[in-house]
Amino acid sequence: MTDEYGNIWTYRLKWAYTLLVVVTLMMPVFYVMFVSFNKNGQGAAEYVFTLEWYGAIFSDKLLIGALWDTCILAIIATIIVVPFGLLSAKFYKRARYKVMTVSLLLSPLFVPSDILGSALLVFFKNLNKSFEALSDWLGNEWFYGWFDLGYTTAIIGLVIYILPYVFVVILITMGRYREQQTEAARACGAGAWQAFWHVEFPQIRAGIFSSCAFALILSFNEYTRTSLLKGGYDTFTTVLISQFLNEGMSEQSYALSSAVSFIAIAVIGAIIVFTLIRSEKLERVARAKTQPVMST
Amino acid sequence: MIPPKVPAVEVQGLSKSYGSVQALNGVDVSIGEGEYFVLLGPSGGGKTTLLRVIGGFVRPSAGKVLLHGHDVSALPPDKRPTTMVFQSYALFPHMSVARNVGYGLRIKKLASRDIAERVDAMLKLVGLAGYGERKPHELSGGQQQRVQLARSLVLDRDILLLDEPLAALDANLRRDMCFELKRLQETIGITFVHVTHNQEEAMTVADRIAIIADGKLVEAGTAREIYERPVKRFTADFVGENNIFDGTLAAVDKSKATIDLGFERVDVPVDGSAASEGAPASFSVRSELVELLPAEGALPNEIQALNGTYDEAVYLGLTISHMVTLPNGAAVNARSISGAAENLKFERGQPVRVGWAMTAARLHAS
Amino acid sequence: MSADNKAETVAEPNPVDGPERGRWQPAPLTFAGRILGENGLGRWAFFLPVGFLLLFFLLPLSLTYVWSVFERTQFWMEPGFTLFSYNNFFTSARLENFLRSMEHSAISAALSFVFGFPIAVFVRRRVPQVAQHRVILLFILPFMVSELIRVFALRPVLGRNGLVNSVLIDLGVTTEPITSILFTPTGLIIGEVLSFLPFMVFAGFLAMEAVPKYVFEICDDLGAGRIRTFVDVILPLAAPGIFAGGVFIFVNGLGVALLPDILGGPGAVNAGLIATQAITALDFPLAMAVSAIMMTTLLALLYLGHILFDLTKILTPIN
Repeated sequence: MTDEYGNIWTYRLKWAYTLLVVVTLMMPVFYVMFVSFNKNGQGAAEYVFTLEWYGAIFSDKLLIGALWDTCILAIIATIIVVPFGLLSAKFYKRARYKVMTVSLLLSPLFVPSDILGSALLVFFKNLNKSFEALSDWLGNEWFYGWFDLGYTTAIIGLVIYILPYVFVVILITMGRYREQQTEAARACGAGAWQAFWHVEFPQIRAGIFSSCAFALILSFNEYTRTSLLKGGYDTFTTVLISQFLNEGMSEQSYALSSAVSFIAIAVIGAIIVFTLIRSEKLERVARAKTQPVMST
Repeated sequence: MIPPKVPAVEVQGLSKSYGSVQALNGVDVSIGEGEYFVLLGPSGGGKTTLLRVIGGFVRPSAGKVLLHGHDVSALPPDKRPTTMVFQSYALFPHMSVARNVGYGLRIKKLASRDIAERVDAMLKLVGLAGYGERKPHELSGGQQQRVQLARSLVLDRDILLLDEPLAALDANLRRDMCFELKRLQETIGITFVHVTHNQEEAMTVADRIAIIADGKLVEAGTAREIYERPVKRFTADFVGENNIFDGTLAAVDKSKATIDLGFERVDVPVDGSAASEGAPASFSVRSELVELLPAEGALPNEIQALNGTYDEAVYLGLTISHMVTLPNGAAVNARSISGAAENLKFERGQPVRVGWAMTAARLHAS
Repeated sequence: MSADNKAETVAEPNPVDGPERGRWQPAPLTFAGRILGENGLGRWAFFLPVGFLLLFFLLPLSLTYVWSVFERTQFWMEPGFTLFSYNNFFTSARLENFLRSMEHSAISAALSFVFGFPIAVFVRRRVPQVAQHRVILLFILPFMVSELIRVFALRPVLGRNGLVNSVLIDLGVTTEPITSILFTPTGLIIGEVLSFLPFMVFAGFLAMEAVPKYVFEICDDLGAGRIRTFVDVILPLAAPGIFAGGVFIFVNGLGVALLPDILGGPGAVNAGLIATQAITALDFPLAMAVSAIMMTTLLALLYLGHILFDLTKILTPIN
């Protein structure tokens, strides 16, 4: 509690409200997790704890295949989007027209998923047709199918979706870093890449890893754009929704949703806790730095 | 051996603008081999920008930078024969002192044994022997700057740039580090280019000083020249404690000029610079050359004096500054060593005259 | 300087007089170096993300305007110029649905503001500086669960036999299950608010970062009551962020097909759903027309916000 704040009960009330909101937001998910352990499914009178629905997940070949595909998409998207985010952050720092740059980089946030998905779908189909025409004109098949709906297009959609988030996270991480260190490294003879790798990267590593986790989770969870752009195969989210629509929410869906949600929450929770611990440590070090040391 | 005629650093017609702000405006500077050269000036005047252009951290909008006669304008910092010491926060916090100092050598891919040897020798040179395994945040400000020095000097480059290296240190430490820097430069013999806004620092270390203000080179010379014989009004105002008098040129001949201050006229020696009658002119007198004289009585020969009212005496330890107000409201500072016999006693409000030998005044055209 | 730190300089040879002294020559510029500049390819890498966005984001979205005037064919579309799709949209029931969905989204945005913004103010104002970001991070947790799951999970929660009704009946508050909270506009709005509230908290928090702490102290000093402080001081200063958050929620409420599809009940649509349904029906120009209308709405809102509030102020904390 900061400031000379008069009423501690108002403070506690506001804290309670904040936590209440968080709990309310999470309530549907917790409920799903709760139901997933129930042998008798949702709404049944009697609650019997079981893990059998989780077991059922692993025996569903289609599901495992979809999960696998989703993992691959997520990993490739992350491998692309995190360096992109880093490049964008650096680009932004030295950009002359900062407002335009950041508007462009954040604009995917403001375009809803279905609109972007639809536009990209039509775009890729057109692109394919143009490339095919080009190929035909050249008399070969080099340019056929570059942008067929499939992995490539789904990854492009994911990268566009995730880029703003990664950009912001990395930018905030880089806020603590002092450019002078890069300059000092250059003054010691290091080239631009060496200076980054030896000096800057170790200091922003934490933020980069957080944004990797963030990107992985976001791509794993994404539905609309992926479903529009993925073409034939299934992803975790498309399997889920076909289950939902066909069978209603089956016990298996509950288990599946819970499992994935639990993993995501655990990962992010771990990162939050980790940064909590780290910042305690850093605070201690920073406090030590500001202690007056005998000048010599 | 470099032929002694080629300057270590030469800057020609250098300009740099950031949007509508002109940081540097057509600067020409020449720094000799093995010189300790100081860029002195007020904050925001362009001296740091100039240093960073020389180092390769800033691209100039116009002009050239020549190091040992070669045009380096297109080269990045790591490809120039320069290295730099920064004001603060430039040590790599995730590396120990030894790894910091050895960083440049690792980039050059020297053998680890060589690196260790040189690092040890360099740490010894800057007085930090045995500190190799410490981390930067465990060091004091002065020690951190010495590590930076070690890190730069171990690279054996020809030119060392220092960007306000002592600004974050307290006054006593700064004074010690000044001597340390001077000693280092004399031992090692390379060219140092040092940026500061602190006069005392500049005068302690420098072989030559350049005053940079408003993006321009105002004046350059040795410490003594700048202090005793400033050419520009700005220099007189910035360096030392000078009294500046502004007026118009009433008359000029071969030996002296008469300046009209409005309420009185004063003669100052002419150094040959051309000035036309009626033009605005100013002159300066060092405060330690100004004496307090009684309001009445004859003036000794060759003494120029102005009537004024005594204000107060400010005791500064070594010196006492007597403040006198002139009829036009301007203040004059007459400084003397405390305890000197001629300290006359005056009362606040008492009429008094301030005087100086005519030759003590310096005429400034601008 | 203590005596033990003084270094010997008299007897030792100069340790720094290496073989390179005085013989530096600039490295000759290779052919590749001339073309690519000092850092080689590195320089161009920085433009990669921006180029990517321009090519795969701005370009397709701009082209929606072009495609929306194409003619529809059985499986694809014919380049041409026709306002048929727009006509189709504006004269059918779709327009009415669209306007209704705008109403719903606006309500969702307003409710998110009412419930979420006070949290942002509270965190910024009363929680110690170091803990602020961690508290805000709490609101990332719901975001980490797939939007799909979060929306679908509302069915068993809000449904006839769902959590809410079970609890209400068990507690004796009602005897009959409430059916008006799912498959109705109410259900839709609940779903939207729950989905997007964290964004309003983030946007509000960012907006509040633009309000310096001393403003609050001045208000307290001047004896301004809480409401006055809020209305006269906080709102205007935080307005850009609030507006941005509101636009985000509004636009997503209009554009995310999932929400009305799953929560809205029969016949509930928004622009996003119309677009995806059109694609399923292979009516691409219509889908593009709807997208174009959405984009125009978004741009109009952002422009309006920029005039009213100067949205660039939001970015100050990032700089």
